[in-house]
Amino acid sequence: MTDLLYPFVEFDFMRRALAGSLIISLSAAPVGVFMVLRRISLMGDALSHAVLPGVAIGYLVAGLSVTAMALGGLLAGCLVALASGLSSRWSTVPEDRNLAAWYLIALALGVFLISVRGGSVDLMHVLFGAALGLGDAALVWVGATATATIWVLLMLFRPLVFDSVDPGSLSNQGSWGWVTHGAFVVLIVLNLVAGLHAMGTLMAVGLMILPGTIASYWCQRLDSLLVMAVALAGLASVAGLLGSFYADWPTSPTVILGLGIAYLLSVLLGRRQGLVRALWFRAVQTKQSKELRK
Amino acid sequence: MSGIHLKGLRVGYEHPLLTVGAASIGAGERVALTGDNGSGKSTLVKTLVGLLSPLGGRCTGPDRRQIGYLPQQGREDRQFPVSVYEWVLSGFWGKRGPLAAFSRSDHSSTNDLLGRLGLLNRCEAPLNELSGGQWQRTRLARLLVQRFDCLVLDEPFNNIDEMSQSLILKELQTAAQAGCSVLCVLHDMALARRAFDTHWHLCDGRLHSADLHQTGSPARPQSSRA
Repeated sequence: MTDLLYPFVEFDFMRRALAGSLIISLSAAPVGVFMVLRRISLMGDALSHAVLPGVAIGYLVAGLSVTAMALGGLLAGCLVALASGLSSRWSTVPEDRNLAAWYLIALALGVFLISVRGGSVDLMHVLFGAALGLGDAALVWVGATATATIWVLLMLFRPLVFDSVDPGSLSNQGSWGWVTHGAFVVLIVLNLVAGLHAMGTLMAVGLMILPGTIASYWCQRLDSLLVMAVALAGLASVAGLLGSFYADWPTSPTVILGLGIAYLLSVLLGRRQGLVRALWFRAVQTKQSKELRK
Repeated sequence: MSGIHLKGLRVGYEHPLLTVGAASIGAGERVALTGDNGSGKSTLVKTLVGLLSPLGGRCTGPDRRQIGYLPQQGREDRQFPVSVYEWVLSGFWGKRGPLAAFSRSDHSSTNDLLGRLGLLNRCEAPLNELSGGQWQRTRLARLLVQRFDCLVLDEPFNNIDEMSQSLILKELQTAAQAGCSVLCVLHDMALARRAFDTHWHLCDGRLHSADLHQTGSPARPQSSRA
C-alpha cells in the first residue's frame, strides 16, 4: 500500500496535484450535488464555456497571471448567469434558452479574443489547465475557493434546501430567495474558475457533476449524498493521479473515466432506480400477476 | 382589525373578471368559495394573498407574510431528498432563520400535527413515496405549523380520498377555533354547505354570500351589493 502511494511522497508535483484535486473535490462535489438535485447539471458545462472571454481579457491585460485570469473568468461567468437570469425574468422565455444563447456569445467572444490577440499555445495550456503542473498561485486560488464555498454552503444550507424543494416558499421570506439563488450561482462559477485553472474544464465540470449523479443512484438522504459525492471525487482523483503516474495516462481523462465507470455501474446496479433492480421488480410483478390470474 | 375585508374590490388580469361589493372573513370564520371554472376563484384568491394587485377597490387583511397560501398546483419538487418530518419541520424556518436550531417545542408541535393528520408512520418517508392524499396532508401540515392568522387554500380536496378529506376538515376547524380565518376553494357544493360557516359563490362576475348558520341551507344566496 505504501509502495503504491510512494509517488506522492517522492515527487513534489504529485503532492501538489493531490492537494489541488482533493481540495477541489471537497468544494466542487457538494455544489454539484445541489446542481444535480436542482436539475441544472448542464448549467456547469455552459458556464465553464462562459468564463472564457473573462480569462482571455485577464490574460491580455495582465499576462500569465493566475489572479487576473481567475478574476476575469469569475466576472464573465457571473455576468453570463446574471444576463440569462434577467433576460428570462423580463420576458417569458425559459432560462435555459437564454443561458444557451449567452454562453455561446461568450464562448465565441473568448475564442475571437484569443485568436486575434493571443494565439499562443501557452495560453491554451493555462486556459485548460494541467493537474501535474500546479503552481503556488493556482493552489492558493483553489484553497480560497474551497474555504469560501464551504462557509457559504454551511450558512445557506437551509434556504438552499427549501428553495430547491419549493422555489416559491422563500418568496414570502423577504430577500432570501434571490440571495440564495445568486450566491449559489456565484459558487458554481467560483468552483469552475478554480477547477479550470488547476485541472482544466473536463475535471472542473466532471468533479462537480459526476459524483453527485453517481451518489443519487445509491443514497436517499441529503447528508449521505453529500458525503458520498465528496468521497467519490477524492477517490477518483487519487486513482486517476496514480493511473497517470504509473501507466503514463493523461490525468484529467483518467480521473473522469474512473468516475464514468462508477456511473455506468450505478446505472446498472444502483440501489435507487438502478436498471437491474427495476427489471427484477418488473419480473417479480408480472410473475405475481400471472399467478393471481390463475 | 383581524380577518380579511373586501370593499368594492375588482379583480382580474387586464379587465375586471369579478366585482365584490362588500364581504369579509372574520377571525375564526371558515369560508367556502365555489364557482364554475373560469368564474374567477383562483384570481380572487391570488388577489387576496397579494400575488395579484386588485384593479380597484380595497382589500384589507393581515400582512402578506401572515397569510398561509396553499396553491392548487404546488411547485414543490418531490424528488428532492427530504423526509416528510423534515419538510413539515421546515415550516418553522421563518421563525428560526437560517442558522438557529429548531427548538424542542417546534419538534413537539410537528409531531403532534403529524399524529393528528395520520402521518406519523410516514414521518421518515421521502416526499416522492407519498400518495396524493398523504402529500396534500403534508403540504397542509407545513402551513399549519406556521400558525398563520389566515389560511387560503385553493382546491385542497381535489383527487383525495374521504379519509384525507375528513382529516383536513378537522384541522381546519381546529385552526379556526384558534382564531384563524380560513378561505377554502372547492367544487363540492354539499361539502361547502356542510363543513363551513359561510358560503361564497361566484356567479356572473359577482360574489354571492350566504351565512350557513343563520339560514341553514340557503335556497337562494343573497347577492351582496355595497
